[in-house]
Amino acid sequence: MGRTLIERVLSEKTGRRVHAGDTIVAPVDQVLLQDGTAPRVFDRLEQLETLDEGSHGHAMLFVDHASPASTPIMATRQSRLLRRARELGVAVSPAGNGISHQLMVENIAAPGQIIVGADSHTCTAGALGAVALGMGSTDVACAIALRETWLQVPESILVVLSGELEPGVSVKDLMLGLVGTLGATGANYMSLEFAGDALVTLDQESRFVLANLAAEVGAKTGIMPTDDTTREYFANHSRPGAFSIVQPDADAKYARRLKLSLTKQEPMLSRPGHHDDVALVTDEAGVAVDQVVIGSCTNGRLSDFAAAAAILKGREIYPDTTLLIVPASRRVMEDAASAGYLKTLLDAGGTLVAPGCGPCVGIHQGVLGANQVCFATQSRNFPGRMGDPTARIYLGSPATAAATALHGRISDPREVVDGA
Amino acid sequence: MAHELRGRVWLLPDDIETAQICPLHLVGEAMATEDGSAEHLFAEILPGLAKKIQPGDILWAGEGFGHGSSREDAALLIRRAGVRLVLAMSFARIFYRNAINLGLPVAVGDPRDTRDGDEIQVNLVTGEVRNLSRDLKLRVEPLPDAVRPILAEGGLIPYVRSKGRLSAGGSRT
Repeated sequence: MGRTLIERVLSEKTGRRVHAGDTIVAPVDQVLLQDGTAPRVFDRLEQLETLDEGSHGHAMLFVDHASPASTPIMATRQSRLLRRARELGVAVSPAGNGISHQLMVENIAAPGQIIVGADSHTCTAGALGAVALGMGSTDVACAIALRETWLQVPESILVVLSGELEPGVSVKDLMLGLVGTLGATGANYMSLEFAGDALVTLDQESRFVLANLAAEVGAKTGIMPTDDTTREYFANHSRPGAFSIVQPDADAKYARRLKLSLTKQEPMLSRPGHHDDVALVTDEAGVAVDQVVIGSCTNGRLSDFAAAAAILKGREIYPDTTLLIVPASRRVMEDAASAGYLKTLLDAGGTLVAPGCGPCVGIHQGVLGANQVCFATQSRNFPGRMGDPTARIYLGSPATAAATALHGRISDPREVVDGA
Repeated sequence: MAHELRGRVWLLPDDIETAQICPLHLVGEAMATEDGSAEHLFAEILPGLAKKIQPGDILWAGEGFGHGSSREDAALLIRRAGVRLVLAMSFARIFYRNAINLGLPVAVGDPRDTRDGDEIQVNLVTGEVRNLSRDLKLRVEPLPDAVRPILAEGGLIPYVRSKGRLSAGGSRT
């Protein structure tokens, strides 16, 4: 019987043919922690009492959720966390370097790996052909101590992409459409595997968006085959040797196939409260916003700032609106500066925030107050996500965010994109 | 862990996220200790519920319980409130794992006509549920084989301390 991509990778890693439904113990190549979840991971490691200090270099702690720290309590907690990481031999990425998921794909993740992370968007690395699984602190502690994890091999939904996006529309719009169709738990316990003629035409950063948003339909992970675009990404990040081809068997068996056309995709958004409450941008056009955020592990990459800069070049944002620019990593920030996007966005009235999770997790750098309205490019918007529970958060693409910042109201980016 | 659990039920709506189970900005530093208060459980989405929940009670949620962030604090806070068992129409996978790993039993099923405050008896091995208050017979999915030994040891940490390694469903290869 043919194997899906995730079945093939897990078969390769365990040395036997595994299929959906099998419960397996699999070796773990890399573990990621972040400052929000790491304290409990370290507590659990101590409780395990199987500590072999100084030999946990396969794990890395990323200080990204409160980066830099926003309160004295948080700063104290972070310094204690860094000390514990160093005692345990866990590698550290300090505040300011960026979001774990972005740094993983830039520097660490590789095709065919199994990655376990103490953060739900760990699945982002699936865009490089890794099996990347978000888990809780206890699972992650075991993955650090034992270098293995238990898991049930998931069934897969094959998402077949075709066609070509119109200007002003991005894969974020496509994926929000899918989130709306499947719902927040529509792919629960399953793997989303991406394929189709259009996948090959998508740049690597768009593919990260596809994998990242697998978390928002409840999927165990998102994964896709590697190709020349992936090869080029590794070469551009000084890791050509990390590249390899991974692909599913031609006769793989999928639980379900979904065909998505890029061609007629329209700009989409999530309405406040539930990220799976999805509508057309045109349905909500005109809603006044206080703040716009372009950033996060979903949409804080170079191409996202390029899309925003294309709309805001030579223009100024609406005077009452705050526009926050949050690069997903230091490298993204530097590349956006070199390419001129950063200057364009700052000239337009944007404010640069340190690379990291920014206000997405509601603890610093742009949190929302009572009844404020925000348009953000992240992937979650439940009440209280970015601060006060009465604040209302719309989610959408970087282009829609830029158009919205321009008018101070939710706006269709196709009306302001260059050449439109 | 006993296979037969009996307790009073609290019903919960669909789509509750981990951040709504455990609002971090309220809980804050309290989560740093294992035995802190559970007063902020569901504080913003279902104000007042935490006060009503007594040790030994059972939660029965709708679809997608525990989706969103991977924070283990959500399952921990429920356990800390003394909840004996969490049932739901469906769970988000990370929450499901976290609960098992913390020794908190979870099972999937439909509460149908069950109401807040009903007394139910659940057999986690057979999946049979009796609503004693209404003389209703219900079902939940039996605990998977891979999960039972972990719950039997009281969670993943005691399991690994007892067995040395993970061995769910087969040998390490």
